[in-house]
Amino acid sequence: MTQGPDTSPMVLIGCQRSAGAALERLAVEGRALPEHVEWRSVSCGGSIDELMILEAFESGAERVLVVSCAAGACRSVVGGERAKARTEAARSVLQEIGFEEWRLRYETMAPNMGVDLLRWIDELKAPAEQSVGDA
Amino acid sequence: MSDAALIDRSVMVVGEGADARGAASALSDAGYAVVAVPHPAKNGDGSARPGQRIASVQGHVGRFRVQLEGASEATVGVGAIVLALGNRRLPTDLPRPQGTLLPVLTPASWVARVHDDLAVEYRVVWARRRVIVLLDYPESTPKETAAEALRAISDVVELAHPEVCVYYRDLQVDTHSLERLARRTRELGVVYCRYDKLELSFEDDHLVVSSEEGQRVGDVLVVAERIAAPAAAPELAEELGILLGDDGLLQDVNMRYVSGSQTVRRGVYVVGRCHLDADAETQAADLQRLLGEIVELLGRESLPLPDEYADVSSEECVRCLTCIRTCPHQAVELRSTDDVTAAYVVPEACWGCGMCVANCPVRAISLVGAEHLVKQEVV
Repeated sequence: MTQGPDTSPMVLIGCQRSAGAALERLAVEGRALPEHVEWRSVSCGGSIDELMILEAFESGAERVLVVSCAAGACRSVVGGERAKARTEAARSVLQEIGFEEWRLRYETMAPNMGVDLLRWIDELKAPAEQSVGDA
Repeated sequence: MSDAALIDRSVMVVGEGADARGAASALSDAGYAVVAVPHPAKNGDGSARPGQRIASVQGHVGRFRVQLEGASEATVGVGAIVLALGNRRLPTDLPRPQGTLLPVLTPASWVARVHDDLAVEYRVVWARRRVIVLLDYPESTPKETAAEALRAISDVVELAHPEVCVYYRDLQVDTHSLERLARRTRELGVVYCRYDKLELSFEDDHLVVSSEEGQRVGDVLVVAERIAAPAAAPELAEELGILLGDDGLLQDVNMRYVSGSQTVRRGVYVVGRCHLDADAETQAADLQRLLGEIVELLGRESLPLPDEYADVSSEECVRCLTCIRTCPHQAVELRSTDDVTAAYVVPEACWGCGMCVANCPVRAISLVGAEHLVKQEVV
């Protein structure tokens, strides 16, 4: 059986130069984030820390997607690598307190990958055998 | 508080070749005082060659303090630093036996030779020649040199109609200009052979190329040159805190909102073949872009402040130096004011990435101007 779209609250944390620019492009095309997704923009993936991710869950998000520029494309050189490391650190904290791994996802992107961003948002949901309320 | 009033409007140009001379001349014509520092690469044994060199660089955009050593020692204040080190082109080493009469040419020398021959009506001779062009031999050919080779093939085949076969292994035609050039040469009848293993055997006046696709005989061999990075690039990249690519060339920050000459350290620029090996037209455009950026930076009353920049609370700073270590833009330093020593982010040098904010263990740093970013609504 095919799963329907998950409309539980979600937070998207991303670099304004990749995810932010992609959202601007999508807006020009008349597309936008689904209403259940809250966009939190940062100036660089390097400024994302564990607390920011944990605060997103604390504020009611069921799922958090972190995106930054790809390695080699970050204006501040190591922003993407730091964002990835911080996401993994936050994931280990979340797992300790019983959150499932799928609830937090990290991706790298370029400004022309808005469609991929929307797809990741759509894909970020409980695996088929597990419902969202099982946390 | 910013020291914006203390901008030094002179520019240091580093390098000893044509790129440095061109940049110095253009900046001088634009009205900037130019300090030329050749910074010759060290000899193989580590000994210094004659000429002034950069010993150390302190300060930030608009007010760098550069310690020079060599012929004379001095400390020079400049507002911006331009690295124009050039690069070196080296002939590809071929296992060629002594005494062979086979012409082995670079793309540029091939074009020149054909033009010389056509001037004395050797069109018929070139039309009968079988030319082998080797790309990616022995390892890989830089994209710029591949484009140069394809352009040479297109020019020569249109002019003199030789039979041309290009051997390549890793050539990726993934830019518009390369794709256009490759298509054009194919339309002109040029044959492309991809190889994994290639064997060359030289006879008196011809060579035999053996690959998975069989054997082919050539009367002329054209080999793309190797590009060697400037020998002084690694030490300057380390001293200035800027990026060095895997190929040894200096790197600009090639991202949206950022131009092609600016490096990760604000006020330090790269120009010419030390970051971009390309044709003369592209190099000229590169120099013009640099001039525009220097004017944008130093042609104002005060240095432009970024939209967002980090600010350290000196009362909360515990002087752990984490921010100084993590800043990718060399924008943080330790300052003492009123008997308080604390980290200080130079606003004009800051890119507002917030990396220091995220890494400060006592949360003593905030990002000024970034309040609008978090929880921003997308319209």
